Amino acid sequence: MVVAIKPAATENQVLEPFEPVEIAQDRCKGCGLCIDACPKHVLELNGAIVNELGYHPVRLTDAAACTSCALCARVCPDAVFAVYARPRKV
Amino acid sequence: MAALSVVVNPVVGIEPPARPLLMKGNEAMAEAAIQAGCDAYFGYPITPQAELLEWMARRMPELGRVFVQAESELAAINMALGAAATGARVLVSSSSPGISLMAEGMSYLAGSELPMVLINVMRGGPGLGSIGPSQSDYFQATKGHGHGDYRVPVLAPSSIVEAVALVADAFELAERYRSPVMILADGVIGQAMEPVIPTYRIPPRNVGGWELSGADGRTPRVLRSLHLQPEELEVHNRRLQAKFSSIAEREVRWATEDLDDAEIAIVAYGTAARVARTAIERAREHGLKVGLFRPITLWPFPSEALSEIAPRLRAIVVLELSAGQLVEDVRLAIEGRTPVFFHGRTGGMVPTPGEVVDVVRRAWALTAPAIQRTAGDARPARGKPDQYRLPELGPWAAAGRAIPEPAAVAEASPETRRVIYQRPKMLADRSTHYCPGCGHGIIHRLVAELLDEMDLGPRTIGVASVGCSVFAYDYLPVDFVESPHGRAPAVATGVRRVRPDAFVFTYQGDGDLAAIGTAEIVHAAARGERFSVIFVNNGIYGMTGGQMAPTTLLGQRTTSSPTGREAASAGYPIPITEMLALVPGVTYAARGSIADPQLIGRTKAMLRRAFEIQLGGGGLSIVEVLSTCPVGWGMTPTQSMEHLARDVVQTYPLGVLVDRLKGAGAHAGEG
Ligand SMILES: Cc1ncc(C[n+]2csc(CCOP(=O)(O)OP(=O)(O)O)c2C)c(N)n1
Ligand code: SF4
Ligand code: SF4
Ligand code: SF4
Ligand SMILES: [Mg+2]
Repeated sequence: MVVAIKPAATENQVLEPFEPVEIAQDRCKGCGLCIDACPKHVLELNGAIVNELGYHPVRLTDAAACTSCALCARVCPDAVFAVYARPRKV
Repeated sequence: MAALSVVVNPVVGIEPPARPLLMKGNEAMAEAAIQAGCDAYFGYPITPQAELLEWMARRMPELGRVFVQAESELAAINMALGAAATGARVLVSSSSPGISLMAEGMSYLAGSELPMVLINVMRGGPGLGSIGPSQSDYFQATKGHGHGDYRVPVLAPSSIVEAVALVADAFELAERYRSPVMILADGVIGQAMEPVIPTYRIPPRNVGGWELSGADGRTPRVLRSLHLQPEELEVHNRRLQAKFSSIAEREVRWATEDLDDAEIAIVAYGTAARVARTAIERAREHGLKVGLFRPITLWPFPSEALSEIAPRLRAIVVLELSAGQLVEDVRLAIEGRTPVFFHGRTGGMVPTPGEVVDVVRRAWALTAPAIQRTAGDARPARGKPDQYRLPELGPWAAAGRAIPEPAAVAEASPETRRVIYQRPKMLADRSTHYCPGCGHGIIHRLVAELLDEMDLGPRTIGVASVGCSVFAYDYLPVDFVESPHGRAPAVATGVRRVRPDAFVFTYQGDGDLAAIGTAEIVHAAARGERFSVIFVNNGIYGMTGGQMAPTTLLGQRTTSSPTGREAASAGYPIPITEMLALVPGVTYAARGSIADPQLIGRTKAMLRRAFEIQLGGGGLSIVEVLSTCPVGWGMTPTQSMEHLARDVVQTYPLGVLVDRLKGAGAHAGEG
């Protein structure tokens, strides 16, 4: 089962409600490797939640700043991420 | 554990500790061997015995004695054979699967009449079984173990204090009879922590006149088991048998409790005897007169003592952590004079005292007091009262594993969201048992991505090895076969030879491939076997608790190299992939890493090339992936990646080591 965590709404996202990254938070083990890999520094451990595995799962802090580079997905040992391309502006 | 504060003076004697020490059975047995003057220890990590090896790794070098972590149990027992041949006091320890590998060595030790002590901390079997406590190696221990007509004294402790005493006794017996001696403990005794005031003992040295020391001024000696002339071998065997008879006469040991007024005796050894003791207390509260007969030597079995008490008992209840092995010796001993009931649990399960009381009640109800018994009623209808009750089982067909549906990826409407990365379909939809940040997860994911992209799933047969990745089949939903530790390349050879159309890979750790399985990988390489090897080098034995692996870096601290690996005693890290690349049968050999996203991408390309080479008809293809074990390295996942990127590559440079189809297209070798 994959649970998509909606990134926290920010001013930006009201204009652009696109979710570049889906995080299966029930499978995240909070190892932090994706946080190290993210060039935009938009991932952090969500201290407010403990998942059923007993870890603080990762969350995306700023969807607008995410470039969908998928480096997070390539380092994650638990295959937690799905990454989508930003739709082209029409 | 640094709790041991005993002052040892092996010459003058030993100061017993004033206060009880809190020790694990494994540690207590290790220390007992040290105190008994053990000169050399050889072993290989295995649960639930690993603490014994780790204790020796720390203490033996401190005392200037010999400790070697061997590359396998096969090697360990033969190191012991060599050391024993010089008259040294030698200890080896392992657990069930490792003991099986020692069968050959034990037969040679017995045939060559060499003293040595072997401790088996039994776990659930058969095969890899479980790591729970068990007594299912009773047959193996008492009925020969290896080939040939021989016996080995087997001592079975039922408490830590007794285990300590028996270790010293075992050395004494070994030297007295020039024979290997086995201590048969189980996972409960090995793992339990008890406050103990151990009474150590140094048995007198009893070696003289046969040991090898160099034929200086005397005729050369040969220690051997080979006697090619049948007449000569028969003479040798007669002598051995005479020795076994005198052991059987003089060294039988057993203990009894509450037997004076007992009408039922529970026969049990080791941990089962401890359960029996509690059950006896409860049964007596209910007015059932029950006592305990506890063999301490399992061979020689205390047959006479048991057969003497049998006629005055209404029944005997045999209790084991097995499906019924000791019970056969009990039946042989009492020759049908008393009804025998059996209760056993297997697989790592321990019977409860309540269960035992129920069996005792049943035995009581089904039998008459001994005085009223005539010869006829003494024999229960075979298999009737002494059934072994297994837990409810499903039908055989249900034994397969349920393959989870491919990961359901959150629906995305294609117009708005183009997928850049998705969890691969060939990765089962469940979380793994790996620790946070463990490299195995990344490497599994790469394999799954390739199985997807190359559409290999339906024709793949994976070969699982033994290490943390032993459950790879839970995450990669393809056909899989398990292999014994280190033997995956041999198993894969068998699979591939009879299934030339299959896509076959092994997934092996560094302990598995580069220590215990060195012979198998080298010879699969020499034969140019057409399968791919995914070799995960994390420089440690992750699964058994972080002991030194053959690939461990110089200076690296592990639970069995507590002061850091030193080349002088533990050798150099083994560059096995470079070595394999020299063999013409290896078509492709490369080393990648998972230290960062770029390197992960390169590693994936290497794996793809390896897989393509197999599909193209090439020989063995191997990709060594430098990986992390944050837990075993004592680092955070982030630190472990930095260590991998900065330090590990100094010893293990990255890149393609050989590509014998280079330039040729992927399918060039076909036909
Ligand atoms: C014959 C035998 N000896 C010992 C063991 C215990 N054992 C299980 S896994 C393992 C080592 C695993 O290390 P490695 O292959 O490096 O894999 P890792 O756990 O590090 O991924 C050992 C020694 C066993 N299962 N069988
Ligand atoms: S896709 Fe790239 S930018 Fe976005 S969260 Fe992942 S690593 Fe960061
Ligand atoms: S790498 Fe994966 S498991 Fe680790 S914190 Fe990030 S999402 Fe969680
Ligand atoms: S012990 Fe090491 S190799 Fe095993 S799962 Fe944990 S981190 Fe991975
Ligand atoms: Mg390893």
